[in-house]
Amino acid sequence: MRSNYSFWIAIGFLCFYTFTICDSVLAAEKNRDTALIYVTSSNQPTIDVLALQDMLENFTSVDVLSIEDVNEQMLQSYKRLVVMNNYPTRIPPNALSAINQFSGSAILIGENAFQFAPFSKWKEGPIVELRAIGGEVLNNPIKWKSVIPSGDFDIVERATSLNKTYPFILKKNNWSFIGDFINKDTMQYQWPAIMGELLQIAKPQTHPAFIVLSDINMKTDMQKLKKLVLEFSAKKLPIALEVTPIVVDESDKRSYYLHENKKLLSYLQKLQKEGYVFILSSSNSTEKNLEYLVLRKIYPTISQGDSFLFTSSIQQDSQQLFMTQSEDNHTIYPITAGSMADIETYSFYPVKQKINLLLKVPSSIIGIQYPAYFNASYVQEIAAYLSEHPQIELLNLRQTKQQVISKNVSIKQHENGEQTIQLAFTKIERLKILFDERPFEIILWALVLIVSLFVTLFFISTLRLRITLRKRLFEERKTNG
Amino acid sequence: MANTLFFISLFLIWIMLLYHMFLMEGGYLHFRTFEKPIDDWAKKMDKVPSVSVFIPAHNEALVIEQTLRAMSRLYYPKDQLEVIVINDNSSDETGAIAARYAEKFPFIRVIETVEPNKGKGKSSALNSALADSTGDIVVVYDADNTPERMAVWYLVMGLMNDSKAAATVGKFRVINAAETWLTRFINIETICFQWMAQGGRWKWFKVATIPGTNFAIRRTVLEQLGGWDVKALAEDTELTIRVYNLGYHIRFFPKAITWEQEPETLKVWWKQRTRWARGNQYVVLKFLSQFFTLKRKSIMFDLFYFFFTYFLFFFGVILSNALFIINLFYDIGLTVGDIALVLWVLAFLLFLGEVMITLSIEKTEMNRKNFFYVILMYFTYSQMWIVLVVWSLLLEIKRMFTGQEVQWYKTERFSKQSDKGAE
Repeated sequence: MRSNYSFWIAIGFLCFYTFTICDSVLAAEKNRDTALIYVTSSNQPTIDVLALQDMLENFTSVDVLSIEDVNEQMLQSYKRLVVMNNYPTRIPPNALSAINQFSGSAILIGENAFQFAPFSKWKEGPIVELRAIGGEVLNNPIKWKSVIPSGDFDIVERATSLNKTYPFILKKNNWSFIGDFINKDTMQYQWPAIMGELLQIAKPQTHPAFIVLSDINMKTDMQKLKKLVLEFSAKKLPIALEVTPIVVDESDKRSYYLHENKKLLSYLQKLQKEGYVFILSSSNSTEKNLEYLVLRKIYPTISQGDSFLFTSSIQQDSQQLFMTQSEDNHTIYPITAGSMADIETYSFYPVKQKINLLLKVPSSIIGIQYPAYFNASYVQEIAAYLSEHPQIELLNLRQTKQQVISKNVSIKQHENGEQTIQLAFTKIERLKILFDERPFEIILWALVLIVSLFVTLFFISTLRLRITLRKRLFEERKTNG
Repeated sequence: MANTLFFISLFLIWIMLLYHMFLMEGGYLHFRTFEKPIDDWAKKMDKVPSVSVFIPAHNEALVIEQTLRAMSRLYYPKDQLEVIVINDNSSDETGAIAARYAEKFPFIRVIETVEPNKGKGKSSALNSALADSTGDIVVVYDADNTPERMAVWYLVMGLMNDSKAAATVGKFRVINAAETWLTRFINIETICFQWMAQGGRWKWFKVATIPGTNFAIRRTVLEQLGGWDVKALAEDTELTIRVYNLGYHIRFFPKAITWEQEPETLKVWWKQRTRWARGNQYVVLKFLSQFFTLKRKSIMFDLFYFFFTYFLFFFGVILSNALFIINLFYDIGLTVGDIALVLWVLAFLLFLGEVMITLSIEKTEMNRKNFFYVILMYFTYSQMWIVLVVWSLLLEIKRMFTGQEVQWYKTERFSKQSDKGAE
């Protein structure tokens, strides 16, 4: 694998050049060149099949096919082939024949290998408990039906039980074999590179990265946030701010609104003007939260979690390793490196470990979550780490194309960083929103209106009295008696 | 928590301010209409009832002469008028001065209080006079009052033309307004009180409070009520409640005018107003505890008004001030926006508007000097009231727990007056 490194670099530069400079290139390379064929008991794709599809789709276009639907003619249009066997069964003859005749790069995973021509000389081995694959140790042993390959295959990777090793990934000419698709523990960071190599797909060299200052809500200490933002700014690290405008406290069912922290709201408005990116996090209605923010002149362009209102979202706790773009142009930025605050001491360590793993995954995205309540001392460490890894390229999300559209809000962010805002709230809608958020204050404003009318009336009456009272109505006097 | 407390304070303050705003509008409307029926009412004054004017006096030598001089000039048939000076244990020249006038004017006489009523305060003195008089109508003046010539006539006119009225109250003005900054404030305060609280309540609810002076009440009603409550420090408010409880009302008729002297020093003001505040607190607690036994529930509304004024409103103001001051030094999480500031400014403008309209009604009072006094008053005199009410409440609570007997404080009079030597 290492011997082909230079080749990969060259191919990578050619094929994924655009990937390194912007975030919307993935779809451009898709030309439907890989067929992912699954063999499952239900004849439906399993989680592993879908995970493999997601992974491959980051490098190439993928069609997912059931083994039952495969025929010779169908496979002729593909350059690459992956057969995922989750279930021991007899392969339909048509499919078997078509696959056997496939001349492009092909991988066969799991069961049923012996039915295919390239592996017909292989023999079944004992069922063993695997504890490691290559250098990656599995957290829990996995039972696997080992194989005894013919001698003409090269062993690419071995798997290890307690005291023995077994050929696990093998290759001969255009055909490769993978013992099992174990997409867990640290193995999930290995597969993209392995698959890319076996299928001869170019391996990009850069990793897009982004940092999200999360957990910004009414309870956030403005001074602490300001310190953090200034620290990132001093290190020239672009950040996005994830704001939760309305927090519902489950204990007392009370809603806490961002405007209740006036200093924070004012500071966030200042950051909006300075060109920072805002991510909307909402525990209840996304639309309501969006409208709340835009009415306060903060315009989020990305949502935290899926939302049909936004063209982009960030995702936490996602298994994804890549920035993905679906067919409806919805882009997902996964927080792949985790949160800085997961442990109390030396908090950057687990994040750094994750990034190290991610760097093994070609073109994987590095998403770091930095909670706003966290101290700023780790910014320096992040900056130092990033400077040591030039393949990590920080995304300035303000310079990406984003769109947010709801009934009353339209935000278009252009690649030059400009935002086009259109709001369609009627006055009644604005009033209703304000009343929902701050009923007492609205009542008080109504009071202000009424009292103002009376005060005006009193001043007019005073004026009228001064003009009309020509004679003294009362017998004023300066003496008594 | 801080927000909740702030909203509570806002509610307590603004419920009162709104009510006063409403009353002010009523007072203004009353001003525009109250004189219209006078010509018709005058027709019933062919045969007027007998009137007894009570002037309780305890060491009033400084002022009693001018008072009696004014009494001697009252426009009322003298055969139907008796003016009774109740000399209540005076140690000065009050009795002698009154006696001189009694000799000169047959309708003026002097009575001395005797035990057990002697030196027990205004209520006891009035009860003494009630027992020693015969007039169908009783009119009360404080010893420092100089009623205008037509004052008693108009008070009686009000009663003659309103069978449901047990009493008529007139308007009082401050005679020493120009003496000190304090008397200027009091002058503005009294004008405002009468047009807003008296005029407004009368216009909207047919309710007015007996002010302690310059009022006429039917003897039959007084006898039915058993006279004045000797325990009450604010005997006038207490009497008001009992009158309404009988089913009568009290008419506010500002055509009847008297002039009275107000405290010129803070010390006297403090003692006088403490008595008033304590007296009103006593009345509120007394009658609210009898809520279910009061026959006329309509008066409850007025009692609640007093309750709000002397308890809740001031609590709201203190709470609001406390939150404001604490918030200056410590972030207590107050999230109320600019509206708080707007309301504060508006409260000030409302105060200004209300006071200016009442001063304009009095015509000559709405001048540049008083305008600046009104502004100053908001930040000084009005704030002094807060401290005073709290202090009065503490004294009243102490009295309730210790069973201490109420001490009547007689307001000190001042000899240096702008009109001294006039006429």
